[in-house]
Formats: sequence, C-alpha cells, structure tokens
Amino acid sequence: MKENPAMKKVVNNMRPGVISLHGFLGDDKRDIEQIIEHDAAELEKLGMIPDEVADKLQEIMEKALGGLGDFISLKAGYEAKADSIRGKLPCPFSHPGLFRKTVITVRNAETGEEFLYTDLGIHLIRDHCFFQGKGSPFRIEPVKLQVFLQKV
Amino acid sequence: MFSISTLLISIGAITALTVFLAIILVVADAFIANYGECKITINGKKELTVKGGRSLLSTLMEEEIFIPSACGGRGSCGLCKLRIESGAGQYLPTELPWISKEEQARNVRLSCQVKVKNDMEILIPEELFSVKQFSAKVESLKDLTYDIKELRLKLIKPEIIEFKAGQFVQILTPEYKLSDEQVFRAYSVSSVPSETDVVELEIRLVPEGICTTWIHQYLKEGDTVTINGPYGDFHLRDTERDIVCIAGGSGNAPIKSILLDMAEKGNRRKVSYFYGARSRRDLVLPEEMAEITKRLPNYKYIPVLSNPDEGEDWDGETGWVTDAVARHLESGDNVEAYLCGSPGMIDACIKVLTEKGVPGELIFYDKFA
Amino acid sequence: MNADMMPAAIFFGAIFTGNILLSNYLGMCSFLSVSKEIKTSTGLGAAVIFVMAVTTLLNWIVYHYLLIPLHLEYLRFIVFIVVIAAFVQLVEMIIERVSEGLYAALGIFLPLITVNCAILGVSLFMVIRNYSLVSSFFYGLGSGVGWFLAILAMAGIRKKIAGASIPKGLEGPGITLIIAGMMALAFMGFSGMINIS
Repeated sequence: MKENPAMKKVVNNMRPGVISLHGFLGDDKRDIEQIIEHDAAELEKLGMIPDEVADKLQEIMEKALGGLGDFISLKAGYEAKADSIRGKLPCPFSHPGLFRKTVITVRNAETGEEFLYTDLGIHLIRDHCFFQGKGSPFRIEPVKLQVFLQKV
Repeated sequence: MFSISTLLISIGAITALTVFLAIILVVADAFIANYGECKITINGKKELTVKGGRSLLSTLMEEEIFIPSACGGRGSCGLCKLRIESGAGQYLPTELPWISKEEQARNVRLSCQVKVKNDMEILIPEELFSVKQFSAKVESLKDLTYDIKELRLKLIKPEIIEFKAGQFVQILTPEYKLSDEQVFRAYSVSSVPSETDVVELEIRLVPEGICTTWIHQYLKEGDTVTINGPYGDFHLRDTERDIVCIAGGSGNAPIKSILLDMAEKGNRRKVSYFYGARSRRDLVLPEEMAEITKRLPNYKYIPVLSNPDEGEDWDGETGWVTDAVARHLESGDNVEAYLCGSPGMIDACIKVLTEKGVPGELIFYDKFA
Repeated sequence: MNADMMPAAIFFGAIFTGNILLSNYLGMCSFLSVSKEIKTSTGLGAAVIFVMAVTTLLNWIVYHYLLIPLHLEYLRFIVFIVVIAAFVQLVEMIIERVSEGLYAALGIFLPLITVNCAILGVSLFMVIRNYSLVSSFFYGLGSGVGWFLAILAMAGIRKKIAGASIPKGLEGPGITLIIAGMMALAFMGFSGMINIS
C-alpha cells in the first residue's frame, strides 16, 4: 500500500538516530496508528484521558526539577529525579515548537520498579495520545501509569 | 500474426515517443529548474554570487557561512532562522509553525526551507561570520568523573579557531552502530581561547543521547571529527564588578574557560565560583579548579555537595548550591553573575541572586536549552 | 455506448453514477492510505482532478493522432503510462518554479499520482467508450471530481469514527474497505440518473 507522504515523514522521524538515539517505536511491529488506537482504547478502559495524564506527569516533573538533579520523594515510596540536558528536540509529528530535554526517572524504592519519561513524551501523550512503541526506552504502559498516578 | 514491419513500427513509435518526452523533460529541467546565478547580499555589505535552486541554508553553508541548525535542514528544529529583506517569496506552510506573528513582520524565515531562486538580501548576526567548520583529531579522551569525559580535539583544517571564553561549538555525530543519521549537538568549550589550535570539551553521558553515547562509547583517540562554531553570547562582560559563577554538571566547561582566560590576562576582579554536585565523585576537576587561585589572586572555588556519601570526610559546603550562594554573598549590589547548568538550577539561582540585589540584566546564563 | 453524449452529462455521470473509485474500485491504494486526514485528502484530491483532466486530454491526442494512424492501439497501456509519468514530472517542475506554496500543498502528492491506476483507468475507459476530445476532457475532469468527492467523504467518515471502538482485526484498512463498500452501495442509488457506460 502506498503511504501517505505526511505519515511517511513521521515514521522516518521516529526511526532511531533521527530525533533520539533509539527512536520512538522500539521493536514494535505495529504501525503508529495501530499503537495509538490501541493505547487510546486501553486508556479509555482505565477511565483516563490524555490531558489528565499529561497534566499529572507535568506536575511531577515540576516537582522533580526542584530537586536540582537529586531524587525527591513522592508518596507511596516513589521517588523522582529530573536530569536536564542541553538542547531541545522537535516533535516527530512535526508539531510546532521545541521541547526541552528533561528526563524524569521515577523509581519505587520498595518494589524496585523504575521508568523514565521526558518533556517530549508528555507532549506526545497530550497532543497525540502516543505512548511510544513497545521496546522504546521511554514507553510507559498505560496500566502501569494508572497505578502510579493513583498512588502519588 | 505480427509482421516484422509492425514490430519495427511499434519499437520505432515507442522509442520516438519516449525520446520526445525525455527531451522535453531535459529541456524543461535546463530551463524551468535552472535558476541561474543569483546574488545574495548579506547585511547590505557582503555580496555572494551563487548557483540558484538549492535551499538558502545549504547554499550559505557551501559559502562557509554556518547558520546553526540541529536537524540538518529537514525543517524540524526551527533553529536556522534569519531575516530575508527581499527575494524570498511567500511564507511556506512548512515554515509557519516556527515563525511568530512578530517575526513575520520582521521577515524572519527558516533558511532551510527557503530556496534561492533570484537575488536576495538577507541579514545575519555578525558573529556568525566567524563560524567555521573544522575537521579535528581526537588528541585525548579521558574520564573526569564516572559520567563526564574530557574530549580534547586538535584542529586539522582550518588549524586555528578564534572564540570567546564561554562560547560553544557543535559536534557532528556521524552515522554509527546505533544511529544511521547525522546530527549536530552543542557543547561548551572548556579550553582557553589562547590555545588556538585546540578545542577541549567536557561531555556528560546522557542516557539515550545520540551524540554523548557515541563520544563515550565509540569515539577513540586518533579519530577524526567534524565540528563547527563558535556560537553563543555567553562570555565575560568587561566591567569592574565582582563576579559570581555558578555551575552544575557539565556546566563547569564554559566557567573553566572563562576563569583560565581571566588568569592569563591578569584580571584582578573578585571571582567566586560555586559548583554544585551530589557527592564528591561528581566533582569535575576539583583540584585543578581550586588551583586556579594560584594564578587568579582574587578567586575562590566553593564546591557544594548536596548529598555527600556517608563516611566521606568533606569539610566543605553542603546543601543546595543556591543556599551556599545565599550564605556567602552578602550583597549583590556590585555583582554580576554567570550561570551554566540545568534550567531548574538556573531559575533557582536567578531567584536567590535577585533577592540579594544583583540586577537582572547582569545575570548571564547558558541554560541547557 | 454513446459517442455524442453531452459533455455535461458525461461530467456528472463520471462523478455520481460511474464514480471511478466507487463503481470501478480504481485508485484504491492511495484512497485507503491518504484518507486519514481531511487536509491531505483535499490536497491529493485536487492534484488528482488536475492530472486526470489534463492527461486524459493528452492521451486522447496521442491515441488518435499517433497510435491509430500507426495501428498501434494495443500499445496504449504502456504509452499512456509514459505520457502520464512525463506530464506529472513536468507539472512538478513548473509548480516548484511558480509557487512554493502550491508546491508544498500539492507537489508532495504528485509522485503518488504517477502510478495511480485511476488515472490510467480513465484514459483507457475513454478509448473503450469512444469519447470525443471534448467529452474525454469532461470525463477526465468529472472522474477527478468524483474521486475527490469520494476521498473527502471517506476522510470525514474516518474522522467521525476515530473514537469508535472497532474490532481489533478490522482496525485501519479493514474498516476503511467496509466503509468504501457501503459508500459504493449508496452511490448505486444514483445509477438511474445518467447512464454513461
């Protein structure tokens, strides 16, 4: 099937090395639309909307930035740390604007659970309902996210 | 059923038709797609005669004028803005996401999207004229901390760079095992401007970073790299005020360059340098930074640890770097400040410094942004 | 078959009763992949209208003044494709020269059209149905408008159903094909109006 030129550009932007080292799709074999549709359905099942998820992640990011690079404690044994990196990244969907490179590491000292998210990742969730492909280092499973957001 | 003559007529007709169409296309290509020679006037002074038909960004690059661009002309970073007074035509849909209303009024364009099709008048910041592309050899690559490496590059061609202490350069990350695209990433220079044939950088490993992963794990001594620069307006202002420098992480690099440059020039201004880190193992070159005091008499190095490891004999400052600044700085009336670090740290520092009375316009910073 | 049919009838017939996409199912691949957004659909649709109208005209001339005199009618498939490809190339070059804005809006779709079977299909139908020069032009134009209409309608429907929960196996092209089938059924309702084939 011939591809829509606009979508082709998005897929290309998501390849490893174009915007980020490992790209946005991980080793997910599905195409972007399928990933988005699937996650959107799952999010709906969990009773969340992208804006709300993005707002909460943003709030935690602001808090973590206050730690100036150290872990700060959140509720329920969770801790978060913000690493700021020089430079800005564009959105792979060619959305206007540039996003700061802030990597938030969230970990739970008790369970050893750990995940990462970024400035750009929040935007992708908010405006594109895109949680990234499975195997991408910055993918967060909506189910996991719900557990985390409910506790903190 | 087919006779030889039908066959020949078929072949002949098809050949004639395709040749005819091919000729039309070749002629069209020569006339329609040929934009001839165009004149680009820069800042009303310099004139370049170039071959039209390509993007302004790459045309200028060919003429060795480097406009900063992180995406390499794909129209996805919005950095390569410049003002085009005439000859650019209408705004393109690919430019508009990056250009605000005010910028439109000033004819700001994305140079990677605008094609050179006729004579143009453009405005470029003067300092970009000194930006050059260099090929350089990795002279040494060593660990400063567990996640920061010092990269020393010996320039090959051109052999000499002119820059101000505090400015940054961009490194071209080539295609390598983990990435098959070229990208530019920016790093501050930590060496002194008087060392004209060397560019030294302090590079912190960024998890998932395209360029830092390459430098930390793939680059070897003796390799050749491509850099361009210098960029940026973070440099020491020539006043008589006391100086407060605050940095964290790889923010040490431009401050080190500024301090060494001051030492070389025999500057007698009072300087305090606060460097915030987590624990002792995160300090970048602590001995070297402290020893600058031998050459810079009014200099004080104040490392601040936020989380010293237990059992570590640390008798220096502890806590947030901002708290240490608040403790040491009595009044900011006669102070100007130079900050380099994460946006969070810089915002916190600006707050403390303004509370102390440092005028906002005398706080200079290189936000990692 | 009616060679003297009024161009206007042919024009409207090509849009509604004999819609190239919905009655002949030609031009499906770009229809399926580009109909996700209304904006891109409009761009591609406009490009199709233009290219279809002009290439049908060109191919009519080539067919009647080159292929028929030389008795090479059987070569029309390959000749038509070559003419379409060359024309699209030329148009791309001209648009780029004349208007960057138009190029950004339409130009990126032109390469997709070179190999669009609907374009070739229209040229071939014009031969089979024995249209005159003027009729051919209106047939090409009408087919283009019909295709534009179909893709625009599809893009609208797909926007509406974006939030609907669709059985997993049918996501994407699957449900689109089913919708296209329903649209075709709906268009059959026009069939009594004008008969062009």
